[in-house]
Amino acid sequence: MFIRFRFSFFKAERIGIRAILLLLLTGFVSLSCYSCSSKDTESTDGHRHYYNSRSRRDYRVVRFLPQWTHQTQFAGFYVALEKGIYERFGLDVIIQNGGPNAPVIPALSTGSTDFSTLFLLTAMRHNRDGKFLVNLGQISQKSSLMLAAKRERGIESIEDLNYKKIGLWHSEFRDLTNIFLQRNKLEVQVIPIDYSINLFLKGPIDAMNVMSYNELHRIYQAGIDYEELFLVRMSEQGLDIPEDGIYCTEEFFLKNKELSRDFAEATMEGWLYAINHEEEALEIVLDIMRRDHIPANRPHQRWMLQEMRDIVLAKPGVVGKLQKDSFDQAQALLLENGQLTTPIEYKRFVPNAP
Amino acid sequence: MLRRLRSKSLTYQVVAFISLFILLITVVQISVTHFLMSGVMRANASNTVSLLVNENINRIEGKLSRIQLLARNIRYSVQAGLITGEQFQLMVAAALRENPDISSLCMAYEPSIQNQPRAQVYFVRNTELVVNILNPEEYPYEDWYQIPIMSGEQRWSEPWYDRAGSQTLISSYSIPIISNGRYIGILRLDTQLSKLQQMISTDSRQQIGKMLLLTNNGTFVSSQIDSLVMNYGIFSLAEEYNDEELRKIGQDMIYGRSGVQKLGGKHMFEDYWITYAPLKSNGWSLAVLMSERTIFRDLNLLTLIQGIASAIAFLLLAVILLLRIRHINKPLSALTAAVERVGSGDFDTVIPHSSDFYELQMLTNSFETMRDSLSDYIENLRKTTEEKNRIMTEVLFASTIQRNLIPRNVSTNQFHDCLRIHGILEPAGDIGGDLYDYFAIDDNTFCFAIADVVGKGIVAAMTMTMVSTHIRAKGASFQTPQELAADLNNFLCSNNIESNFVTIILGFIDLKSGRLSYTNAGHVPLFIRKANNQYQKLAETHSTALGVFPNLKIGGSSLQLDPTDEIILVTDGITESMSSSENFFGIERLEETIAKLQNPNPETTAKAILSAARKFSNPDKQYDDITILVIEFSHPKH
Repeated sequence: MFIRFRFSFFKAERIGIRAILLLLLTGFVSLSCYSCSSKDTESTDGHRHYYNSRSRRDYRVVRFLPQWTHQTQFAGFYVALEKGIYERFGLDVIIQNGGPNAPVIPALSTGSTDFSTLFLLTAMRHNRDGKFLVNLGQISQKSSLMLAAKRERGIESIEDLNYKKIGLWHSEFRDLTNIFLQRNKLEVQVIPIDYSINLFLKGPIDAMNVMSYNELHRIYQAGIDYEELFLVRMSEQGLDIPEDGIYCTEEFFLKNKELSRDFAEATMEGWLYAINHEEEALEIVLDIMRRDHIPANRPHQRWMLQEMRDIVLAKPGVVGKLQKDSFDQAQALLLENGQLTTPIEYKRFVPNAP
Repeated sequence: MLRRLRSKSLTYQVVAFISLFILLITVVQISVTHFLMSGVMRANASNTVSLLVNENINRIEGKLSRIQLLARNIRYSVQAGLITGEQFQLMVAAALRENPDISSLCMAYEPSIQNQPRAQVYFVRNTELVVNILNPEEYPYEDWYQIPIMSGEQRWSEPWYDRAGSQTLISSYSIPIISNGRYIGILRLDTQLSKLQQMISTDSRQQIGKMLLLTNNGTFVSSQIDSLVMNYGIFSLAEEYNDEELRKIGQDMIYGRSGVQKLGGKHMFEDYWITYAPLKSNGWSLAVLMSERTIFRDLNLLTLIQGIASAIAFLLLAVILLLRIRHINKPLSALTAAVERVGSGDFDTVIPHSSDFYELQMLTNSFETMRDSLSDYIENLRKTTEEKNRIMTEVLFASTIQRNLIPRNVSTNQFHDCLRIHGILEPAGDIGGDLYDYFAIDDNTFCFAIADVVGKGIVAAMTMTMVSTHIRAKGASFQTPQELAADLNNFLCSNNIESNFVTIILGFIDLKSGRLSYTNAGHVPLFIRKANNQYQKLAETHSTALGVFPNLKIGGSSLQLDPTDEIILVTDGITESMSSSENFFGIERLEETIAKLQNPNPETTAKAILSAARKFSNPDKQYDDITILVIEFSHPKH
C-alpha cells in the first residue's frame, strides 16, 4: 500500500520522455559534478539519481534500473555504489528509479538503461521474442515466491485451495504460481491483482501470491499474525527457480563484455558487503529511500535484507552465478508450459559461464 | 576539642533535630498530596481524553457520513436512470462546488460493460470542471475499485495518491452500482487526506496529548511525529521495538475495538496512556496518546514549587534557629569557661551574669552556690587531711617503736646457747595489741611472755607497750612469774584508762635445771612439744585476764623441760582464724599441726603453724593480730 500511491505518480509518463530526461540529466550531471559536493541531485522530473561525485571522464558511465522501487531487495547495488566498489572497478554507476511504472524489459530494449534485474523465468520467457537478454550474474539462488492463505477460510492444506479465490499478480511475476496450480490440478478462481495486499486483508480473496521478503512481511505489518496464515513455499514444491539476476541485452553485452563482467562482479561484492554489514547496509538503503520520499519502514527493510541474505547464500559454494541445473530446470518448466517454444543455449544465456 | 564538640552537640543537634523533623513532615505531606492528587489528575485526564476522542470521532464521522449520503443520492439517480450524459456532468460539477470536502468524483464501469468511456474522474481545477479518462488496463486492479466490486460493499479505501484526479493523497469512498442484480461499476467520492489530518491536527495543538489517526492496516495517517506518517504503522513500530503489547493494541484498533491502556516498550511512546476508539464509517481508529509526564505536569510543577518553597522556609528556619541558639549559647559559653576555671581550682573566679534568660540566671546562681560550697568543702578537706596525715605519721612512728620493743629473731642459739627462739607478730592494722617478749632476768633465769590486749588500735597498743615495759622493768624483782603477773595486774588496774584487759602467759626458765615455771592469765593454752613428736597441751589457766580485778591471786605451774623440748605459744589470732565458711581454726587444728611437725626447730614450727592457719582462713577475714612464739630448750646451761 505504501509503495503504491507513490508509484502511481509516474504512471502517466512515457518511457521516451523519461529517456530524454535521463540523457539530459546525465549531461547536466557530468558538467556540474566538479562543483557539486553532494552525492545526488534532483532532476526536473523529480527523480533522484545516484552517481559518484568523483566521477571522471575516464570512468565508464553505466545506468542500472532496478525492477522495483529502492529497497533492500537491491541492497548490493546501493552498497557497491556507496562503499566505492563500483568506483574501484572504474565504473560510474547511475541507479535509476524503478517500480511498476518503469518496466525493465522495455527500458533495456530501448536502451534507456544498461543493466537491470529480472526474475529468471521472466528473462528466459522474454527471449522467445525480439531482443535477447543475457544473464550476467545471479543474485538469488532460490525461489522466494509463496502462496499465503487465510486459515480462517478453512485453508489448512494445498487441497483446501480448491475453488478458492486466489489473487495473482497480473504482471509477469505470476508464472511460477500458475505452474504450481497446474501441477497440483487446483481449480481456483484466479483474481488478477495489483501490488496491493488490501484485497487480501479486506477479505474478497482467500489467498494471494507473496514474496517471502516483501508481501508476507507487509501482511504481518498490517496486523495479521503468521499463525493465521497457511503458507506454501514454491521452493518446497519442486519449483525452486531462482529469481533476481543481473541482465543486459545481448547486443549491449557483445559491445561491452568487460564492462558487463565488472558491473556484475562489483555488484556481487556489494552484496557480500551488505550481507556482512547488515545495519550499515540498512542505513544506506533507508537513506536513499528517505531521499527519494519512498515510505521507509526500518523493520520491513531489515526483514527484507535478512531474507535476501538467505536467498543469496541459499546454495553452498555458489554466490552470484546462475548454475546450469537451475537454468535447465527453468527451461524445462517453460518448455513444458509452452511459454518457450525453442530451447535457449545455456552458454548464450549465461555468456560469463566458465 | 571539648568545646567544639559541646557547641556542635547543642546547636547542631537542636537545629538538626528540628530541621529533620520538619523535613520529614513536609516530605510526608507533599507525598500524600501528590499521591491523592495524581489519582484525581489521572481520572480527569482520562475523562478529558475520552471526550476529546469522541468529539473528534464525531466530527470526522460527520464529514464522512455527509460524503456517504451524497454518494448514495448520486447512485440512486444513476441507477434509477434519472440522469444521463450531460445532466450527470452538471450534477457532478454542482456536487463538487457545493462540497469542498469532496476533492474529486469518479464513475468507473466494469471493463466488460460496453459503455464509453468506461471510467472517468471529475475534479475542479481553477473553478473549471476537469474530466480525465482512466486507463482500463489499470483501474480494475486498484483497491478503490477492486475491493468494493468484488465484495459488493461500500468501502472507504486506504489513503492513496490520485495522479489522475486531484494529485494529492486521498481516501476514497466507493459504492457499487447495481443493474439487474449485477455490480456493473463503482461510484467513487474522494476526500483529501490533508482535510482529515487538519481536523486532527487542530486538536493536537492542545497540550493534552498526541493524536493519532490509523487506517485499517494500522498505518499512521496523522501523527504529531511526522516521521511516522505514512511510513510507519502501529505494527511496524511494535516490531521495531519488539513490543508485543503494542501489536495487540494495534489488532484491537484494526478490529474496531476501543480501549484505554498504558504502553510499555522502549519506544517513543513509553509510559504513555493510549485511548483509542474506532471510526465506524471507514473502520479507521483514532487514538490519543498522553504521557504520564503530561498528565502530571501541573501536579509535578505544583509539587516542585511546594518543594522549593518548603526548602526555602526550611533554610530560613534553620538559620533563625542557629542564630537564636548561638545567642543563647553565648552566655552559656562564658558560664562554661568560668565553671571550667572553678573546676581547675580557681574558686575566686567570678561567675558571669550576662544572660536575660531565667533558666540561665538560675544556672549561674546554682554554679555560684556550688563554687562557694566547693570552696568551703575543699578547705575543710585540706585541714582534715593535714590532721590525718599528722596522726598517721605519729601512729606509724608508734608502730615502729612498738615493733622495736619486740626481740629480733636470730637463727643461732641464745642465752648461753641454751635456747633457740623464733617469734612472729603480724598486726591486723598498723599497730597491734599483741605482744611477745623474752629476756634474761639474770644470768640463770630467762623470762618470756606472750600477751593479747582485748581491744584494738592506739589504746591497745599503748597498753601493750605498758605491759612490755612493766615486765622488762619489774621482771628481775620477782622470783616467780605469778608474782610478776600479780604485780602487772595491779599496775594495769591502777593505770588502765580504758579498762582494757590483757590475757598473758608469763614464764621463767631456769637455764641450769631446765625448770619451767609459768602462769596463764586467761590466755590460749600453751604446748610443749617433746622430742619424740609427742606434745603436751597445758590448758590450765591460773587466773582471769589481767587489768580487770585488782589484787588478784594468781597461781602458777611448773614443769621440767627436757632438752630439745619446744614451748609453743600462740594468741587467739591463730585459734580464732576464720575460714570462708566462718569456722574457727581452733585448738584441735592447732594440735594436729603440732602433731604433724617433722624435724622441727622454732622457726619451722612457728612458720608451720602460721601457714596452717593461713591456709585455713580467708585472708580477707584477718581481724585479729597473729602472734606465735616458739622457744626450744636446747640443753641446760653448763
